[in-house]
Amino acid sequence: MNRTVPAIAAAAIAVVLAGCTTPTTRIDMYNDHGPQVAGLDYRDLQEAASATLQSLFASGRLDRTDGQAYVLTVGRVANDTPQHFDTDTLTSYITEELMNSGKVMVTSAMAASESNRDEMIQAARSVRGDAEFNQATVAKTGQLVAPTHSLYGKIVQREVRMDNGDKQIEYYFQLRITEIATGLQWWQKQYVIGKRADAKTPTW
Amino acid sequence: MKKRMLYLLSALAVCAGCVSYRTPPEDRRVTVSPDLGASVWVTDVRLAKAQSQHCTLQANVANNTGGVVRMEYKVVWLDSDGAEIPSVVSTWQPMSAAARNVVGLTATAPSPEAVDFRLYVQEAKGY
Repeated sequence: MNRTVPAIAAAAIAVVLAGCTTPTTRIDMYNDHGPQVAGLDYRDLQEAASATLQSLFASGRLDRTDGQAYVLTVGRVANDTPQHFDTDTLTSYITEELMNSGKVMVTSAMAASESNRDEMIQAARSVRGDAEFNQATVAKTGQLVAPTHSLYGKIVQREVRMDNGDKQIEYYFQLRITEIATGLQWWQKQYVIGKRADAKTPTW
Repeated sequence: MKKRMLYLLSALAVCAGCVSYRTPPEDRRVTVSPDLGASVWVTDVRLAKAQSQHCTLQANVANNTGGVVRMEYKVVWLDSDGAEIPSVVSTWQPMSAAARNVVGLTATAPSPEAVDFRLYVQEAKGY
């Protein structure tokens, strides 16, 4: 009797707790009608990537008559927000689409962040003269292609206190491309996403 | 005689009503979701290459209501074979139209291979 009562109570508590939890579900990434969040989520990044890419495609800057592709390096895209996320989640959309357009090649030999550099490029060259490797298959000197353009920018978060005590959060996505030979800014786009939330809602 | 005249006038009135009733323009490339009903019409759909090799779609979205309508639109780009060109450009984009206003919608293709499109407009969620 003494053992049965606590067991029933524990089972009852377990049932109640199980009923309180939200079951895990997959997000429908193509038609996500889930509630908005104060921070940046994948929908914001996709929206910003889409807007900036369309600006670049419409500008005509990528069009070349010689059939050659531009060589792009990914420079520093600063995360100037209190949120912890890798800005590659934005730039990956950009570089993927630029490569798919057939007008841009992205170099992995040179990039601002380690994650955008492929260390195997140097590692494969370190075996020059190593008898263990067939030297005919080792990359020759003077083969790497230098970038013609650099993508860089930043994501800025600005919070404004509203008259009713709530807060307004403004996200500025600023992306630029520089022509490396001349140092001239070749293209730029700023895209803004604004949200309003309760003052106590954290964005991080 | 009077009755006949009355019928004739009634029929004329009905017909006149039919003629003046505005109907939304139909474009097989454009789908407006039922949740928007007749509150918005998509008109003047044009596809052209301006200063770029990439096609740019332009359309007007007319808000027929007396309030602000918040919407999302998505453009799916198709190549010359009618195959979809997958792209992050084809994600839902927000837009809104003030009461009785016409707003321009612009979208640029992600590839020079894109020659056709499908445009979807639906009511915005989460606003």
